[in-house]
Amino acid sequence: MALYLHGYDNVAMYDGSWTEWHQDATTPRDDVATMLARSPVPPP
Amino acid sequence: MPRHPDRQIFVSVDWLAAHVHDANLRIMDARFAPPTAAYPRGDAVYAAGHIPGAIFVHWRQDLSTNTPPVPNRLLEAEAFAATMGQYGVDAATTVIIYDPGNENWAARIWWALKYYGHDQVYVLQGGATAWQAAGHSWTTAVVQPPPTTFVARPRPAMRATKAQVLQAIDDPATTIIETRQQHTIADAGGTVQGAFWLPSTTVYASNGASRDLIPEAELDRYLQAIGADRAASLVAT
Repeated sequence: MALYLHGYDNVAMYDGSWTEWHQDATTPRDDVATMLARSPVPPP
Repeated sequence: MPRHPDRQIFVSVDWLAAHVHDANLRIMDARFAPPTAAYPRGDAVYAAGHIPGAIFVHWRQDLSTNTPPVPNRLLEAEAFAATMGQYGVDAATTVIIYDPGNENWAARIWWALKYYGHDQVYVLQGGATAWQAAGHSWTTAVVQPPPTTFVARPRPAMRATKAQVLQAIDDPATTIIETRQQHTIADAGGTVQGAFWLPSTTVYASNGASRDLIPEAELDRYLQAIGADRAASLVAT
């Protein structure tokens, strides 16, 4: 919603990311440390 | 990316107070807490008091599929339309959604209505907390909206499937954003490969007992850093 509000119309929500993705052991994943290393520090 | 600085998602408590009895207005109380939380169930909170004219909507029980193997996904079009019809929502209805003031659950229903093509939907800024703090009226009266017909017109671009997410991992034109907290990601066994972390809590700033979205410039700095402003599409998980 925040992205849409700020003008991003090209946002798709993966509805099922909290369940479907993790029920399939073959889905490509990163652990938290890898994700954090890639990501800038979020807004405070 | 074209910007829409005049885009409106929120309405203020003062606006709602002035329009609370409008004929084509439907107010949804989306207060929700996971069953394990100490916070009372949303329907109990609603029964104890709510904004006049509001109906209670439980996003999991009322608007989600609750069948394995993937529960808590948005209802399919026909079922969603039937539910909205029962809520008295049709093409002429303006829908205002509120939650305790953190906007997470209101945002979920906002997205669902947008996805099914209903544009006249807004979130009450500050939610129930701001409404009560402003001294506006509060009631235990339950309303029964007159049923009507809601026509669902899905916007596929607003929803990503598992197959699309798999494709997005290798697509340099798509940026994947993970919105959960770190512990939730760890407990679930990781995030989607290649995702950038933008937890939903960081797009809000405290405003008394409720929260407001952070200024556009702050969010922009982060989005530019991950290339989201140049991406052809974004996937939020």
